[in-house]
Amino acid sequence: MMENLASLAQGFAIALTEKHILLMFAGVSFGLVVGVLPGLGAPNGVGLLLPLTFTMEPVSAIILLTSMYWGALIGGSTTSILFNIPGEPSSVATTFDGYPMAKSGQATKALTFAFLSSGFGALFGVVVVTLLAGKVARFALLFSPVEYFAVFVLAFASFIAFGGGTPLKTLLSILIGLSLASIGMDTISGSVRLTFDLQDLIRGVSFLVVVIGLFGLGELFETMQNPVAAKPITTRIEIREVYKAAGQWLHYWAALLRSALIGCWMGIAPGGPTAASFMSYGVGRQMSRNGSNFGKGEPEGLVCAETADQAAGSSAMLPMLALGLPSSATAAVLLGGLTIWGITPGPTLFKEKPDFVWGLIASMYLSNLVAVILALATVPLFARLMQVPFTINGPIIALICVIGAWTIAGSPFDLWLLLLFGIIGFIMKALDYPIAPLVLAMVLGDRTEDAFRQSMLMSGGKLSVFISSPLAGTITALALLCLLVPLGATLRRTRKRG
Amino acid sequence: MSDDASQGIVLRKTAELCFAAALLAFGVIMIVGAREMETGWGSSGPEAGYFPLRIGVLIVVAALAVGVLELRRTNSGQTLIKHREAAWNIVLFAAPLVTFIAATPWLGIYLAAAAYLIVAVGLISRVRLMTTLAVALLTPAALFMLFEFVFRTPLPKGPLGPLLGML
Repeated sequence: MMENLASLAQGFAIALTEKHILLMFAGVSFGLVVGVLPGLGAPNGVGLLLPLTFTMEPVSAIILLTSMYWGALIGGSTTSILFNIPGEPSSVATTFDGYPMAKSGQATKALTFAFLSSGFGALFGVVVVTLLAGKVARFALLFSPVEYFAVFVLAFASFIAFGGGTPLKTLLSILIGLSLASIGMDTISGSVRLTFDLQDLIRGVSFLVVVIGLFGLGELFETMQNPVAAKPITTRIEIREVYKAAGQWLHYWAALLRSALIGCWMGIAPGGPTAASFMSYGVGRQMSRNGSNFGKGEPEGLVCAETADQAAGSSAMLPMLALGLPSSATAAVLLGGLTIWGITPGPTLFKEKPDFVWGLIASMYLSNLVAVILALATVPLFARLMQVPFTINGPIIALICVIGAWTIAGSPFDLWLLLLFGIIGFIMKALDYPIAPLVLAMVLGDRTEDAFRQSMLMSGGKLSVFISSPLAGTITALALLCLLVPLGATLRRTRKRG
Repeated sequence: MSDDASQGIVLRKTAELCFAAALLAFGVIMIVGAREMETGWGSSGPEAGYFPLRIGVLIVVAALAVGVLELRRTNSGQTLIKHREAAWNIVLFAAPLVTFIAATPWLGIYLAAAAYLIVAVGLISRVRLMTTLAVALLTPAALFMLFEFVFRTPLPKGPLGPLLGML
C-alpha cells in the first residue's frame, strides 16, 4: 500500500510538468468535441489521434490519449442531456433521465449532476486502480501462456454473456475480429498467411482502419439517413445554479458509492462503460426509493448512469496495464497503441516502466479534474457546435476519418478498407451485431493465438493443460459458466413460450 | 404484409440473410486461405493455418445458425431503411466519398478534400453557396496548418505540392 503511494508521488512528478498539463488540456478539449459529435466517438477519436503519437514519448502519448478518452466520456453526456442524442454508446442510459430533466427546465442541474458524478466515478476508479495496481501486478505474475489463453477466452465469453447483444451475433463479431487479426505475418512461424497474393495485405489489416471505419464512417452512414440539426433545450449555464445543484448532488452519496462500485467491477472484469452504466441504472431503479420515477427525469437515475460509466472507463486501465486485457473498445485501441509505442503490457510493466504506469495513473487524477472543469465551462460552445447542420458536420467528419486512415501508413489501400469497414459497421449496427467485441478480438487476436500455441507446445498438445493448474482451471470454468448464461436464458424463454 | 413493410426499401429479413450469407462466404474464404498453409501440428505446436482454419469453420457454423434462425422467424415486418429519402440520402453521402477516396492518390488530400466538400455539402445541405464555399476552402486550409505545422505529419499534396512547399 505504502509502496503504491510512493510510486504515485513519483507519478505526479511526471504528470505535473508543463508539457503534460498542456497535453491534458488538449486531450480533454479534443475529447469533448469527439464526445459531442456523432461519428467521432471515443474509440474512433483515439484511433484518429494515435498515428500522430507514434513519435512521442510513450508516457506523453498515453496521457494525451487517455485525457481524450475522459473528455469524450463527459462530452457524450452533454449531448445526451441537451439533445437526447447520446454522443457515446455509454451515454445512452444518461438520456433516460438527463433529457427529461433538461426538458423540464433543469438543464443546468442535470449537466452539473452529470459532470460531478462523472468526476466522482472517475476519481473513485483511479483510487481503486492506485490501491490495487501492485496487487494485481503481483497476481498477474503467476500467469503463464496457459492462464493468459484462459483469460482471453474468459474475456470473449463474458462479452457473449453480458455484452447485451444476441450471443450468436456477438460470437460472430469476435470471430471476425480474430480472423482479421490473423491476416498477414504469422508471429510464431514468420510465414505470411491469408493474403491471397495481395501485396497490401502482407502487413495485415490495421486495427486502426477497422476502428475508424466501423465506429466513424459506419455511424455517419447511419446518421446521414436523416441529417437534421439538433435543437437544444437551453444552453445557458448560471453559476449560482451550479453551486446550488452541487449542494443537492451530495445528498445522493449512497447512489454514488453504489454506482462507482458497480462501475469499477464492470471496468476491471470485462464489461466496459456501456454495460456498467446500464447495469448501474437497472440496479438503481430496483434499490432506490425513487425507483418508480426513473426515466421521468429523476436525478438519481442520472447519477447512477454517469458515475458507473466513468468509473468503468478509468478502472478499465488496470486490467489493460497489468494483463494487457482491455475491457472496452477504447481500451482496446489504447492497448493497440501500447504495442506500437513498444510497450508490452503485463505485470512486468509495473517493474520495468514505473514512470509510464504511475505517470499515467497520476495523470488520471488531474485530467479528470480538468475534464469536469472544461466540460462545465464549454457547454454553451458545444451546444452551438451541435446546431451546425449535420449536413455540414457530416462530410467534415468523413474527411477527418479519411485523413486519419491515411496517416496510419499512407496507403491508398487503407482508404478502400476504411470504406469497406464503414459499410460493414453500418450494416452491423443496423442488424444489432455488437462492434466492440470485434475490435477487442482484433487487438487480442495475435496474443490469443500465441498463448494457445505456446500452451500446446508446453503440454505436448494436450488440451487438458487448461484445467491442469487451479488458476487456469478456475478461469476456464468461469469462461464456460459465462457461455452457459445465454444458453440458460434461451432455454427459459423457450419453456415460457411452450 | 404490414404497411410498414410495404413502404420499406430494405426488409430486415432480407438484410439479415444477405449479411449472414456474406459472413458465410468470408468463413469459406478463411478456410480456403488456411488450407494453403499447414493446418495441423508441427514441431512448434499448431502450425500457421491451425487457428485460421478453425475460426473459419466456426464462422461458417455461426453464420448458418443466424441464417436458419432468421428463416424460422415469423414477425419480420421490420424494415431497415424506411423511406426512399433515407436511401437517397445515403447514396448522396456515399457517392462523393467514394470519388474522394479514388481521387486522393492523384489530387492529394487538400485539393480532393476541397472538391469533396463542395460536392458533398452542396448536394445534401440546404445552405447558401457562400457557406458551402467557405466550408470547402477553410476546412482544408485549417487541416493543412494543423498537419503540416502542429502534428508535423505531411499529407499527400498532389499537384499543389510545389505551391504549398513554398509556405
